[in-house]
Amino acid sequence: MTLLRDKKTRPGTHAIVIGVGRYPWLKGGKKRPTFPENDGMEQLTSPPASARAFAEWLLGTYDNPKRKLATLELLLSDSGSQDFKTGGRTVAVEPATFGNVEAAIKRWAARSKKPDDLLLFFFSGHGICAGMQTTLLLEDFGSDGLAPLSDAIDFNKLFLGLDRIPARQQCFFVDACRVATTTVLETFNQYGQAVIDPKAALSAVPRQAPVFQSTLPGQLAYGRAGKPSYFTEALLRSFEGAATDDDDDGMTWWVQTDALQKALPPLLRRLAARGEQPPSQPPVSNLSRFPLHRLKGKPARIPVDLSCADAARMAEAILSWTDGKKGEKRSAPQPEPWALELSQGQYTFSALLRSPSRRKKELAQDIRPHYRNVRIPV
Amino acid sequence: MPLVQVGLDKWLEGQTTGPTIVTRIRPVRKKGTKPVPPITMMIPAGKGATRSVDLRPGRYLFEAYLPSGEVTTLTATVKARGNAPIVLQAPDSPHEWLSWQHLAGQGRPSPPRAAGPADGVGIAPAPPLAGPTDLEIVSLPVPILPALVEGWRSKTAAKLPWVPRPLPARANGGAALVDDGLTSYLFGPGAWALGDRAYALVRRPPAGPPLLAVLPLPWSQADMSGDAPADVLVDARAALEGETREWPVTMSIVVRDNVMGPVIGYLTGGDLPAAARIVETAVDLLYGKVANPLAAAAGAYVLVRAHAQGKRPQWEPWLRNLRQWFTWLPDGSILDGWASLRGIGRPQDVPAAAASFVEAVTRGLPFYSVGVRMLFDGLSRADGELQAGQRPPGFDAALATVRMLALRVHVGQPFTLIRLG
Repeated sequence: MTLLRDKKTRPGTHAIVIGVGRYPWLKGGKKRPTFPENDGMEQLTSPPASARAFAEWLLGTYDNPKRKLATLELLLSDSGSQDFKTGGRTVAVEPATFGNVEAAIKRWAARSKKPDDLLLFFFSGHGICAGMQTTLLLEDFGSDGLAPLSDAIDFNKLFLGLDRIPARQQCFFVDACRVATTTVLETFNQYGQAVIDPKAALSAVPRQAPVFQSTLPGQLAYGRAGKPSYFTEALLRSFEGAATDDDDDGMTWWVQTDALQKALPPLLRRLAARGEQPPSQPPVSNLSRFPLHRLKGKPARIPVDLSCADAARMAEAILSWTDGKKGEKRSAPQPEPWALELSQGQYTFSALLRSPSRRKKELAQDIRPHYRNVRIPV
Repeated sequence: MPLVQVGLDKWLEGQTTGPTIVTRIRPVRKKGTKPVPPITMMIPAGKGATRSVDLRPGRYLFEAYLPSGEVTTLTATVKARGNAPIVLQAPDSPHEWLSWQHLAGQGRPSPPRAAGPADGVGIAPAPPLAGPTDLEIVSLPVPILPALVEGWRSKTAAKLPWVPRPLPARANGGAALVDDGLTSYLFGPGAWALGDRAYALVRRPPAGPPLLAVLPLPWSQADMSGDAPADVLVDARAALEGETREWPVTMSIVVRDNVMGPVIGYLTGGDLPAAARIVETAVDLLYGKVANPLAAAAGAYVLVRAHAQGKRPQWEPWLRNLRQWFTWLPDGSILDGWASLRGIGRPQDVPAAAASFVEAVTRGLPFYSVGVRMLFDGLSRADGELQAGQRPPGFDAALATVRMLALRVHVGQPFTLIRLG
């Protein structure tokens, strides 16, 4: 057990973070025989980096005064190192085998004693995501060639099973690499282990439990050796401001689950490298609104695209912005919109046309999360 | 207070939606002033359509949240009198004929294409543009789900005895519209009765397995203004770009319904609160005469999913009515089953819920993909709890069927779209 935080805070936030990159029985793994129905799945370096980044954010930045971080359990399967550095100490992290993860999920769920608790679930690794089914593969997937899905989690059933847990707010982040087809599921007519069996009758008090899933195809999502995936990077970036609003009291900015749903697509589009397929809208399921994290200041790094309303003018327009104190100018005209990251506030945007009359057009805009497409009317 | 007209400018091929676009109006604060909560209202989308709101003089930020997930904003000053309408500008669609798809969040934007070897160095020429992707309207004279299960097992699902249901590619009699991997169809009501099931079949996509979508026709406008066509877009751009993804070709169906088009868009995009806000104001329209049980079912999905614990909702009896009055509608059985499972307006009754779900499977493919999800989840829940003696006849077979279906359904589409391979 690798419990990075263990405080008796009631109600509290209980988090479990899992990152699996080492798959000894898949392609490139050290164990033999290689699982024959591997479907092209191989070793990954991004998921442990993603899990570390998410855990670091929870320990260092997460702020939810009503549900302070009470517990954080981390599981990693990293072919590089199992170490996690936190608060000046180095912790050897338990590997994310099925047995370890199963026990950790049960401990995590049992830590919630009150309806006011918040459960956070983060998984990054190989998954089999087909249609509505999501199956999460753990380190020892493929070790038992006769029953490979005994080392995998049927996320759909786990999700349903967690309705039995007292916490009525639960949030799931599933950053599963979508390389595999459904061959394994259909061959073995099994979709993995539920870990927590669902009950038919729903709990009397409805649960708020949004599921945010990466939608990028696997190779694209994980083509970043040793770095967090695009999804995780977008997620953490959105927590800086793009996924916030101040609608509750007009003063405090909170990362809200419904704002997160709006913030992720433009951030993912930004992060996908040029020329790559822009990701489609992440299919957030069970979306509802509740606060996750309180910002200390005002929202930062809000993605803003600045352009001319008439796209033909972009080839000759010098664009600039100012908030009255500081500003920036894009000197050379370029055909693409100017991808900016701005803090929440009031701005003046302008376009200076080079010819024939050096005409300048200005536009005052309020910039708020989660994204703004500012088009200067020239 | 001054009365201000607010609308969303979006060309929808001559149509105007009802007040269905969620809009927030935020007073722009001066430093040191107290925060004022935003006003949330629904505005229409179209050309020249607006809705009025009382606002104090001052400066405001108007934000319209579209079903596509896009946000369009405008900062404007409201004067004591003589205010011009506040018209928010929706993002442009690449073609007028894509405007409804775009509003509903379907038909993702194309990535920039290389224009060609302008300087002769380093730029690959753009791949050739594709021709149309053919689509057939068909029905199936045998129960569809058992036939599909058998077809999936034997890899012959595309070869089922589909019966053609000829329908013009465009309701005006024109040919399908094609651009760069996109093929657009616009189907009118068709020569079949409500309840006769018809499907859109892409038998030979340029990549990937054949596709089948439930066709929600005929469709009457929820506001009783006539028929709404079904806008069907076959998107083969990913296949052209050589993407190896789960869906190299997709098909999206959007009904051009002035009320339910945006509702279904919000529901599919995951914005359940926005969908619920519209449906709650449209309950009388949907259930007054039940002129369109498909629209009523879409509204019921929103209401059931958004329902919080509390007193019996006024719409609860309609779930049973949808199930009992429209015996061809799988979605009615699913919704009524969920009312039993959740105990909405009635005691929780798991065996009754399970019986409803089994009945849904016998009725065929749910019209809505959210219905497939709720069917899958409902059967999975019941599976964990009901002992053999408590299970209704056909339960295990129904669960096995829906498990296979769930692997092949496109979760990002409002109407059920499945892979036949």
